[in-house]
Amino acid sequence: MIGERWTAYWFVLPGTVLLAAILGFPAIASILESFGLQGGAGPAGGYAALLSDAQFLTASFNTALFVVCVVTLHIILGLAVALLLNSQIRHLWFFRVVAILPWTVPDVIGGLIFRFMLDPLSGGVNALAIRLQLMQQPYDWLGDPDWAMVSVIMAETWRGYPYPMLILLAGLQAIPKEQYEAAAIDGAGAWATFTNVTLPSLMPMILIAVVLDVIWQCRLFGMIYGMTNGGPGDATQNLSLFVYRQYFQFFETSYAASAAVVLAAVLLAVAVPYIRATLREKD
Amino acid sequence: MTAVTIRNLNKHYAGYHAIRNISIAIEPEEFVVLVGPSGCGKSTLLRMIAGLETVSSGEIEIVGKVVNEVPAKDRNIAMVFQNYALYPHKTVFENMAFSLRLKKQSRDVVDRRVREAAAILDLGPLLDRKPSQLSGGQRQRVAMGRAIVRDSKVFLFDEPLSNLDAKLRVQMRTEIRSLHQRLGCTTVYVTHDQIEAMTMADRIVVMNTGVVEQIGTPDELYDRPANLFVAGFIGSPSMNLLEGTFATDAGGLYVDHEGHRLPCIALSAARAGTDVTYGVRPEHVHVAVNADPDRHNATVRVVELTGPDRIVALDFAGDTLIATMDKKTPVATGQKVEVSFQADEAHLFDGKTGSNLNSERYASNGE
Ligand SMILES: Nc1ncnc2c1ncn2[C@@H]1O[C@H](COP(=O)(O)OP(=O)(O)O)[C@@H](O)[C@H]1O
Ligand SMILES: [Mg+2]
Repeated sequence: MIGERWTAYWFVLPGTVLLAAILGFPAIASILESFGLQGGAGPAGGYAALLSDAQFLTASFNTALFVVCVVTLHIILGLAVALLLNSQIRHLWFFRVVAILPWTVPDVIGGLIFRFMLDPLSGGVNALAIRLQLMQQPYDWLGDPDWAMVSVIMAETWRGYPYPMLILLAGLQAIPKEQYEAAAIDGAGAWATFTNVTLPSLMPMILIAVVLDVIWQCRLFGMIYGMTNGGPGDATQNLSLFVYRQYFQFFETSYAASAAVVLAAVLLAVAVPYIRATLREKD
Repeated sequence: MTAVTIRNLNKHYAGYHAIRNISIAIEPEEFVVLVGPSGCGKSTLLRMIAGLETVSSGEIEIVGKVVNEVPAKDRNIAMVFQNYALYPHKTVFENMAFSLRLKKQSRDVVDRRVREAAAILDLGPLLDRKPSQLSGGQRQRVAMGRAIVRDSKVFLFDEPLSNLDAKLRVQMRTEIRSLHQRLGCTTVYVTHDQIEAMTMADRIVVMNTGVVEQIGTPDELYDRPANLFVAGFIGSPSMNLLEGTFATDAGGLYVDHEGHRLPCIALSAARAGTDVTYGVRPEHVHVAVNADPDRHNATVRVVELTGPDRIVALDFAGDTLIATMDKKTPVATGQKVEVSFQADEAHLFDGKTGSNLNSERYASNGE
């Protein structure tokens, strides 16, 4: 019996080594880099400097604001679309395909598309708004710090909602039909059924969708890079872009690595409870 | 006024005629059981009464009001589902309280009604539990509790006991029956188990492939099955059915089965030559073990002891006959015996339509 158990470990070994190498090497390299062990900053690494760097603090705030808004909108929009797609409408398959399309757009390209659409001279958004007489003059949306943030949030809301939507749709489909029938017999209308049957049964799925989306949106790079490149100024710069700029524009490798490690640590703090909960359910 | 009236009801699913022109009148306080083999349309009919399925044609009336267009939530019926369909995230108390809360009943009323129901069903100590912390039988009770806290006109049950083990099932049968006696609510109860139907029902509706085969009290169905289907479905062990032909001799009309003369009641001699199915309940197969060897016409193949009776399988003229016998009569496998039948205990079914020919006589007896 003991022999068999050890045999099992031998089978797992090659995979484990491979994973450790792939995941572990860059992680360790980043951490070493952040302490300047490959030549660079002092013993506290870039960490001390980060705390007093206005750019880093702005990027952190931008990331938090962006993530909270996008994830909230994703869940609301995703739930609404999932509820529609879970109903008995005609040509359901067609709507399902259409609903998933935004997810197929690569994020940098999604960013570029929105940048073109919002362009003050040639963009469709301004042209349409003027034609509908919502405004007289074209406006440089992405040149205005506040509207630029609103724009990237809207763009990512559109591009990224299908993923949480699919998770919620799967959750909806797993709710037994009898639950709804029992509620109807008990005299529940649409809203009472939604709050008493749908929402409580969907809660675990909503949690999963929130956690995965938070992780995803914290790391978001391509969409913002393609759309505003963090501008105007640093109005839409998030942590990913901050790390990118430190590294590739200012060549502050150790400093960039410190910021990357901070971001990774925050993500880990979000991910670990989720992974533990998932594993516990399997038991 | 009847509690539930169903008139010429039909249900068409895409390309499948699931309910075929069914009419039933259910009296107030009556306990009616819909019984039939799996897939015959029992659940569909019940769900149409509940408002969970649309009506293709015909009418459903509940306490004097046609409800075809009334949504389930406004029909004020109570229903117990086969898998109970309890709300998994609500406590037992909240499961039962839900319908009352939706009706905006005061906190005191909700509390009192739920506790009353819980007392009736012995659920008192379980009120704070979630459904996942209950046994199958307890969940069943909660499902019933959810139904009885409301002042419903009609109770609907869809195979509520089929997920329970045999012992609990028998116990719950009695409990549901006595609950019905206590509350006096009109009940429509679906099951595929004819024993359940026979033990619980005031009246039974026997269904088969979307049609009603017969409606009657358990005794009526047992003693006077309208046709071959009901005869074979009701009763355990089931009725023996022997294929034969009507013939006449000096003694009058009889049924010829493989050269054996089976006695039957006097019907028109004009039937001679037509096909018939001869039905005898196991308790009406008379087995004589000490008969004259010349009169032996059957061989004992299997002997089963089941409680008070002995159930015996016999080889008779190439068929298997099931007979119930007194335990005291000694009988052994391989033994030759004499089997006989009595004309007034035998059921005769038309060879073509399967309808019971005896019913002509029941009618003439004014029954
Ligand atoms: N939603 C549906 N669509 C198509 N056919 C159905 C549907 N529901 C039931 N049926 C068919 O109708 C028949 C009766 O079903 P049901 O009422 O569930 O039978 P029972 O409860 O007597 O076992 C079955 O043949 C079943 O396949
Ligand atoms: Mg059924």
